[in-house]
Amino acid sequence: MRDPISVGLGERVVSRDPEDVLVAYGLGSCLGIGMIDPVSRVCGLLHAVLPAKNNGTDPFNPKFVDSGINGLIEEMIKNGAMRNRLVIRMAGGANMLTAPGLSKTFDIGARNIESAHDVFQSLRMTLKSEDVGGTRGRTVRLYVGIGRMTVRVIGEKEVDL
Amino acid sequence: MSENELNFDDKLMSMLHIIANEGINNAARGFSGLLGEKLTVNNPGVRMVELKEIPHILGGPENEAIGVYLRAEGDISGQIMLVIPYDKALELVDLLIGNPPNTTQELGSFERSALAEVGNQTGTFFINSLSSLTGLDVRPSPPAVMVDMVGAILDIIVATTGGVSEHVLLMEANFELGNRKVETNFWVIPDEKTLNAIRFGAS
Amino acid sequence: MTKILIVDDAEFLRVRISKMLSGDGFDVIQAENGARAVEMYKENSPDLVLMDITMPEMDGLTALKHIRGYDASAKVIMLTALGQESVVLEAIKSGARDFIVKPFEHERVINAIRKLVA
Repeated sequence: MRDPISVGLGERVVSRDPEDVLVAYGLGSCLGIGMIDPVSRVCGLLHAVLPAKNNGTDPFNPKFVDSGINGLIEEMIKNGAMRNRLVIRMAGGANMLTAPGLSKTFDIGARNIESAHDVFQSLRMTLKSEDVGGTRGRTVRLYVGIGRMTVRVIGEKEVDL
Repeated sequence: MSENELNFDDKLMSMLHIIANEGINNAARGFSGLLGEKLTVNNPGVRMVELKEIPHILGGPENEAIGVYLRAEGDISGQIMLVIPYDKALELVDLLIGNPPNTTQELGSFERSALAEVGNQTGTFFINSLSSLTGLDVRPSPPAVMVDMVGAILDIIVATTGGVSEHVLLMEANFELGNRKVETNFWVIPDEKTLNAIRFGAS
Repeated sequence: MTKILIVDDAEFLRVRISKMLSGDGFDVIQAENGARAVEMYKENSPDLVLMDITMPEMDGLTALKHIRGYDASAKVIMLTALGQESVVLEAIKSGARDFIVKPFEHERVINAIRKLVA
């Protein structure tokens, strides 16, 4: 069996190979956003770190939620996907620091989630499902062959997203 | 990179090495004090690491670990993180409480508070050293204990520094306890504005 | 029995110090942060306070000032890892009677207490 393809911090991977499994490991405040075109079987996974690219020059920079989503859509389409067929699921955006005195200032997770919702709204695209927020890390897997996305939390079983 | 920038970075790096050396040794003393045992300090140093590499430094982003995180605030600011693999953390708690090995099987709030105090004393001792070396005001925040996947624990560092840079400057060491081999990774990440203050103040 | 209020956000340390002091014949009550410490001081009138500094909600230096403001004869010993000169000076200026840097030795703490509550 082939090794899964790790989608690291600020990366995106698009695949049409049915044997591929795309994985974003240990998402804390980061967001794992998956897109699946069930007809062309093109799948993509984005591992975004921060909410907005602000002044950066790359409109598709995968490090940021806003540019990252646009970049993922663009690459999916280049690989044969159609925008109106995209099934979108996302996970992550936890607040890992829940100690008093620290947590309020650093809820980047919540800001990432908000940014994603804003982008999807402005693109008039709907999220099929999400498992976001909370205080626990998540690993997200996208099985390209069957277009299945899962989430796993430490100590628990892998479940469908 | 221009000649000037190189010089600044040389100066910066050498100052950081001095700070790291003193700070890390003092931090080890703080940690040792809680245990009544001497610690070995392995691989102390300062290096630049690519953001993407951060979750992989500690054996893999999905490994379960404990992260104790605190911030340094004041004239100098930055992040301090202690990371211990889960099993080692259980052993460390046994040592702190004075239990025989394999007593602690789970990390409840009491056990987490012991790890929090390790973070507090280790981190505060580093900060004390920093303050004493520079004459500047620096104070620690209370510590936060995270029990989760390494990747999720380290997101705070990546997210905090990642907006500004593709690289993180790390001061690091590995603390090892003699016969019970409890390994703790200790990281200090200065904020960009502090690096700039040292960089442009150093002349 | 002499009543001592221990203030520290780490449960582990509160328990450790509490056991140590109970063993030496003191009556011990605990608070987990500076705000609780001020409340408990008012409610229980302890003979002495052992105060950490780095805590959420309200730090130990602020709590020290509140307690001394409430009771000018309050006996507070700082017990903290934050052993910087500026911090020691601030604590003493705010009325702390002693300053012990963690990690602490049992002896040091007992002697400091006995000096104040003979």
